[in-house]
Amino acid sequence: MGKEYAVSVPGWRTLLTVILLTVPEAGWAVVESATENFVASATLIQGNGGSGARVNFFALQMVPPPVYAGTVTAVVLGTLIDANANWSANQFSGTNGSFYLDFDSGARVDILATDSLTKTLTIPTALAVPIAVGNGYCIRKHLTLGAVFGKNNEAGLTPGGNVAQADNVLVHVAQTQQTLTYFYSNVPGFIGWYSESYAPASNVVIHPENGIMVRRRSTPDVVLYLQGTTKPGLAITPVFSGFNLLGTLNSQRALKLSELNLYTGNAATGIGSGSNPSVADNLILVHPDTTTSSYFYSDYPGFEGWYDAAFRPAADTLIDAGAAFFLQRKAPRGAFYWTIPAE
Amino acid sequence: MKIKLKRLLVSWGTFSVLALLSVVAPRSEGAVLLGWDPSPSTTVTGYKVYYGVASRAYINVIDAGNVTSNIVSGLIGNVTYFFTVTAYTQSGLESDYSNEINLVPSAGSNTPPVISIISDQVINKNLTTAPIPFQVQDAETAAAALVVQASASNTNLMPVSRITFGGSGANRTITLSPALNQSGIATITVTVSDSVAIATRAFQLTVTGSNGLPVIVMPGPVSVAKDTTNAISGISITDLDGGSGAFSVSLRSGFGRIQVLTTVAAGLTAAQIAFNGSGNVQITAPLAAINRTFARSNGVSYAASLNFVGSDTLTAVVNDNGNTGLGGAMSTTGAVAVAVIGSNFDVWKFQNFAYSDLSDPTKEATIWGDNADPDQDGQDNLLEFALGLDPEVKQPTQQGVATQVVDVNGSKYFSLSYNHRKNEPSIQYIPEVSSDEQTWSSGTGAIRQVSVTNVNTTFEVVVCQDLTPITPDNPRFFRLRVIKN
Repeated sequence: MGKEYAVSVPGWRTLLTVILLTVPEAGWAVVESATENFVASATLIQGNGGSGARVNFFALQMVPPPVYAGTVTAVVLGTLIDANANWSANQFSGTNGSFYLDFDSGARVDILATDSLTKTLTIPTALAVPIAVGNGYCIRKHLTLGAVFGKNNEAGLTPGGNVAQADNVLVHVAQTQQTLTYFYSNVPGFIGWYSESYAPASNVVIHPENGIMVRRRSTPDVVLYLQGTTKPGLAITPVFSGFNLLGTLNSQRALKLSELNLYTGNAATGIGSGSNPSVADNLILVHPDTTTSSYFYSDYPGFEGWYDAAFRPAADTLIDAGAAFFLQRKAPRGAFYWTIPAE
Repeated sequence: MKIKLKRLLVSWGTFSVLALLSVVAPRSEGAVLLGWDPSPSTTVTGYKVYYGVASRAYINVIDAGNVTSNIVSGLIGNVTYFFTVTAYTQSGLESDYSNEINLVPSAGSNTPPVISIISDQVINKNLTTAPIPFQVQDAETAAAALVVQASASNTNLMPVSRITFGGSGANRTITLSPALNQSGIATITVTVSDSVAIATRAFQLTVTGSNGLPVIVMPGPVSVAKDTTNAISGISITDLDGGSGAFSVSLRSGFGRIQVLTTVAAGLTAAQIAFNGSGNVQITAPLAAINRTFARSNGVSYAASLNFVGSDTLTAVVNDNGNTGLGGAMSTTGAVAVAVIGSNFDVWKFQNFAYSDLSDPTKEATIWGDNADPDQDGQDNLLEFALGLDPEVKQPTQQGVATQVVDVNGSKYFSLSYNHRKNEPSIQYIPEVSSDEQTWSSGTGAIRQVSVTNVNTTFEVVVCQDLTPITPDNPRFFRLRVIKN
């Protein structure tokens, strides 16, 4: 039987009693939604202890919030098309800064150009994971030196006239095996972030999975406050032959070596194992006191697994959120894509 | 009492008066009632009565106006008076005299009352005439005391019981309501009596046999809740000449489905209803069955189409299929306004999505569902609504939510600002903080509301702050949870 309800709705002058015969249950259901998780972190950059310089290692615990999202409707080599896109020309490239595609698969793909007419993004031809029609993606703006430490050095690093005077931010480029040095110049007329060769550096990209080094030349500690969103799902990053400075991108959870997905059993897709650290690829963890610990994946029969340089089992060794570590990929092994586990 | 009648056509110029002078003998003070036929000329605007004590030597004139009778009083009894009438136009042209009549008023004896001409009437069956005016007078009796009655030559067509009188004094009316579904001709005779003498006036009533219009009664405007089924009671149809034949009724709705009950005893059956449950229900059945079902409280029910909110109209078109009478089928349309009420969220969806999508249940997951994300920008509809974003334009959440690290007394805290709909009780905004993304806290023990800033009539911006500072190795997490009750 029906139930009588008095229906009174603001804006409707008529108040009527109607006989409500049926009410779909869905009409009363509680529905919930939530924003992405925002995270704010504090990273301690220790002072030099009174003299010299002290190198601090850390990694990001967040990614920039997405500025766009969509679904791939077509893809050809070096080009991604989203027929439903409403982006404007060069919205995600050029003078607007550097942006990247963040796929549900975890792949991160830099955007080289943005075309509004053809709804096309130009991307590199070499990809960690093939892009397919129907893949969901979001676009994030790359973090830069200026974004991380503040365009006006809001982080409070010691400025100077050159790299020898100022605190340094060191960015290791694994692909070229270069470590680039930047500083905040306080020279009148040249105030801002510069490279050691005095090129403007505020827009230098810091990839989210990469570790960062800060060489502190002043005594007091500095706390670097950063905010962004947590990285949902997997993240994929290239690991090149030689040294790679990496982090886990996790915001809060420490990961065991055994949880890192670094060892896949296939040296083409993961770290190379060996019977000793000299043969295997090495993971080198830099501790806050600047000491290091080295680990490798043993394939010695009966001793398979993670070990430290002293051959002690290390599978449960933790990589803290925000910690940076070196991954030494030994020649002749080539690059591979590391799939960073989700938090 | 003697009555002298004489008929004479008088012509003058471009118009004439056909005079029929009827003269009633005087009463004691000496008065006569004169009557005459109207002039056939359309330009005539009045009549004058001339009289005197010698033939064709009239020393008195009365402008009677545009009427066809007049009482001449002040006459001396037992003296011969001569009367004639002229017609005149608005421009002052006046006709020749009519025929002359003479009389000798005598005092003291009763004269019969007089009743004016009543024109013939033509109406369709099952209708009632408007009140038909006529005048009564009597030389000795006050008009209010005169008694009027009527008879009919065909009481099957015009029962005397369905004749009613109205008016008062000299100005009376007669109203005729012929028998139902009867047609034909009847002579109606009106009799006026002063209790001593009577006068009669006859006129013809013609009742035609054309098929009468059905009449539909619809209820007043109704308000119904979105996605509910509601009875629409109060629809009824009458047709005095409807008979027992089949009527056609269509019930239509622009944005809803109409269901007609098929289980009412002696009411409509499923076989008599086509497209039941659709937006265009067709009924073919005798009127009695239709009304029996419609009279049931839930005989007709209405359900707006999925997700529809706004104004709809339930329209009923009744066709009597020619039942009964001449002239073919007659139809009538009735309508009831239906306001389909939804929440602000429902209205928002209706404003933002095509109706064709909203009414398609298969598109709940992709287009209109609360948790659907049609623009695939990572925010579902509920969040887009709560934050004032466009559900079909890709927008970052940051247009509705922003975070900041703020300094409070030397310590750093995480703060969150978000667009908040005012006066939206169905939506809860719950900012939450966490240290591990596993356990989330809300409320005054965990979060401080810093400010509320008005934006417009719909939105305000709420700024809140985590009460736990950000410290090295202790990241803080913030999120905004939105719940729709």
